[in-house]
Formats: sequence, C-alpha cells, structure tokens
Amino acid sequence: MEKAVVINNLWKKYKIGQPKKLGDALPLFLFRQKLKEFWALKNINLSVEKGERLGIIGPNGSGKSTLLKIISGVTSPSSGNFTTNGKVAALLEVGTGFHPDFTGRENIYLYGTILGMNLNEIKQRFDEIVRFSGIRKFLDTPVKYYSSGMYIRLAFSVAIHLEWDILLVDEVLAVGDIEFQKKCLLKIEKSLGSEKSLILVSHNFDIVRKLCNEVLFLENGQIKKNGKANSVVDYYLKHVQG
Amino acid sequence: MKMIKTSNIWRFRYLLLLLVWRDVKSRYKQAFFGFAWAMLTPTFQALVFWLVFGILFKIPTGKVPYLPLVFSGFIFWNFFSQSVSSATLSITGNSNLVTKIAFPKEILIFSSILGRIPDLITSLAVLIAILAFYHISLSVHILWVIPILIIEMIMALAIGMFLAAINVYFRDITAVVPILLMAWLFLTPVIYPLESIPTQYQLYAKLNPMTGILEGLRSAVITGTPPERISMLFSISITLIFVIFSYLLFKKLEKGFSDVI
Repeated sequence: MEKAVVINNLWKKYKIGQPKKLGDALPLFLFRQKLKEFWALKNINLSVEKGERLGIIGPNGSGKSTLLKIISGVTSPSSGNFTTNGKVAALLEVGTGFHPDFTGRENIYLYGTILGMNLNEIKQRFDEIVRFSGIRKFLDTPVKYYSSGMYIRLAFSVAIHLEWDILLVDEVLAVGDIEFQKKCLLKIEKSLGSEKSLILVSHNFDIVRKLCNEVLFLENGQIKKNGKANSVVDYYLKHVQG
Repeated sequence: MKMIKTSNIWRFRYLLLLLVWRDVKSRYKQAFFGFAWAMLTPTFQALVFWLVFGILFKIPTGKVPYLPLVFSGFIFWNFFSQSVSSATLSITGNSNLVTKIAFPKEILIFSSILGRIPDLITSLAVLIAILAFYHISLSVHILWVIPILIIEMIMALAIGMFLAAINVYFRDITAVVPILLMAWLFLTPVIYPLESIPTQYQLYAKLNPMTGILEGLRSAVITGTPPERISMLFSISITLIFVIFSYLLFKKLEKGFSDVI
C-alpha cells in the first residue's frame, strides 16, 4: 500500500521560559545558563497509509497537537524526519485569521485563501459554502456581530470545502451544535475514500470510534499503543481508569 | 526534513493578495474619514514643519519653496517608515496565523509593505495639486519615481524583515522602532534639503542610504531631474546588501517563530 505519511525517529523539544525581554536574556547569555528543555515528542515512528483514518488520543500534554503541527509544517521537528505524500489540509483551529470587522462574505474569501484555496476555487464553492453554513441572511454582516455558533459554522463551512489528500483535524469537530457536528462528520466521511487519509486528534471517543479505523495512543510524548481503533480506545479507557 | 520551500512564494500569491486587502481595508473601515487620512496625515505633518521651518526659522531651500519640499519629503518618508513599523509588528501581530497555518512568514512582511501603496498613491495626488499651486511643472523625469520607490520598498523590506524576526524573540524591538525611525527621519533630508547641511557633514549624510533615495525621489518630482548617479548607486548597493543579509537571518529565525512567539 502507498503511504500518505511516514515519520521516522521524530523528536520535538521545546525550551521552557524563553526570555521575551533583552533584560532577561542578558544574564542567560552572560552566565551561559541553559534553558530548561521539554521533550514534547520522543522517538515517534509512524506510517499512515492512503485511505487510512487515524485517530490520536491521549491525555492533555501528551504531544498530540505537536505531532499534528509538525505534519502540517507549522513547526519543525528537533530531530528525525517525516514525509507527506499528497495535499495536506490542516484544521488546527477554526477561523484562524478571521477579521472581526469584515463581513461573512469577505471572511469566506480571506479564510479560504489562508487555508490554501485560490480565488477561483472559492468562487466556485461559494454558494455551497454559504448553503452549508446556513447563515445566508447574515452574509453581509461583520462577523463581530455573529454569535460564537454562527462564527464557527461559517469558518467550518469554508474549511470543510477544502481539497485535500491528507486531512489533519485537531479537536475542532467538538464545536457547534450536535446537528451541525453531525453534518460536518458526514461531509468528512463522504470526502474520504480509498485514496484519502485522515488524522484526527480528539477526546471524543464516539467520534474516534466512528470515523477512525486505526488509533494511536500517546502519553508523555511517546507512543503507548497503536492499533485497531476499538481495541486501542478500550485499552486507553481501562488505562485511565486503572 | 520537510520545510516550506522558499521558492514557493508564488503558491501563496492569493494569500498575499488577501492579506494586503485585509490590511488596507481594516485600516480604513473604522476611521470616519477613511481614505482621507492618507492625505490628511502628510498634509498636517507638512503644515506643522512649514510653520516652524518655513516661516519661523527660515531654512534656506534654494529655488524650491519649503512647502512642496517638506510635503514630498513626508509622503516618501512615511511610505518607508510606516512600511517598516507595520512590517516589524506583522509577525507578532499575526501570532494566530504563525502558530496554526503553514506558510512562508515573509508573506506577512510583504503584505504589510504592499498595503502601504494605496496611501502613497493617494498622497501623491495631493502632491501634484501642491506642485500645480506653486506652478512647478512636471518633467518626464518624474518616471524615476517608480524605480526609486521600488528600491525604497526593498529597503523597507530589509529593515522590516530584520526587526520583525528579532521582535519575535525580544519584544523590546517594538519599543525601539519608533525611536529609531524618528532619529532616522531627522538624519535624512526629509524636512530639509541636502544642500542645507554644512559641507563638512555632507559626506556623513550621504552615508545614510535613505539620503540618496529621498533626494532621488524629490529631484524627480520637484526639480524634474534624474537622480545623482553616485548616491543612487550607493543606496542601491546598501539596499541589496541589507536585504540579502536580512532575508538569510529571517529564514534562519523563522523556523523558531511558531515555537517561541
């Protein structure tokens, strides 16, 4: 099978207490003090096949989001390497770059390009995006007057119309009302196929069980278990309770 | 290791375009006078300096009246200084994009500089009106404005990239930039012509790369002459050295932006 993502011996280090003022940096520099280090990911080896739907679970601070950030290219690994094969779309947060003073219509264009669409793609999908969001009436209202639900609906509607081969989703599905959540999940399921891959970080095990066939359990930056979705989720739940 | 290729900027042209649009539009959406501020700001600046240096302490300005001299100085200087100050804040001010979206971060610098062009064009219209009022006619040499403005933009890019990258690590830069720009304004022939500097200091003034740029722009517009070749070439060389150095530094520091910001 062809691989969508391959990760080899990947480590990620963060420095704690990076100085933001020159006054704080000076003593560090003069006395050659070292900042405390924190390994967010330790020796990750992973391969995701085309068509695979991988869930990543684990307690807070286990490195789930860091892993997605690395695969998406937002941050780089401290050592090790990874390759991606296909167009990556990353939803690490919904509505990144939305401008509150801009109207819904304007923000569709703005957010669409931020996510990597070109203007023609957005124009082509504009009506579909608006229909999906269900906020046609407020299209020409600045989004600062939107309720948080409307805001998220609009952002998500744009994001979900992206074209991708590998979709990275960080927790963002747990937004909006149940009905809208279902609609989004359905849309993602529809777009998935034998060629497309999904990597989903979530604390919602129902979604993970439903959407994913494989699951990775991360703890303290290490892979604790990797395998079939249901068995790893069950293992995790037992692990947490025990 | 997979990093975004620097040659990939073309792929992000739509993002650049929309960021410029966001920058320009958001700047004027809230203000009551909107785009008029692009004309009012340099007009008020010029009037204040005209009052002080044109009327109270008369600076010798040769054949050129003081008001068009100082107004043209301000619009070309403001383009530079506003580009530099918004570029400096463009990385830290868009931390949500930096930490959530993968794209070459120089796009933010480019967009904050390109976003200043509408202001410049608007204020150029006022300059032409002022020149008409003083019966100063334009010559074909006004076309020099275009290449010199491009050099000015590259200079702003060089300084802006450098300061923006450092600002991610040390926010002290945010406080330093206004002071730096004010000092640079007074050391550049903006509110006075180069000739009014005592001869023994002229050489030092010419070591400032902005001197050649400002003088070149002003001679193209007001006296209708091409730029002085040596100082223009000097400014171009310094600009290119700066921009290469800044770009390399920026790309080196960029890798840490999303972790440190």
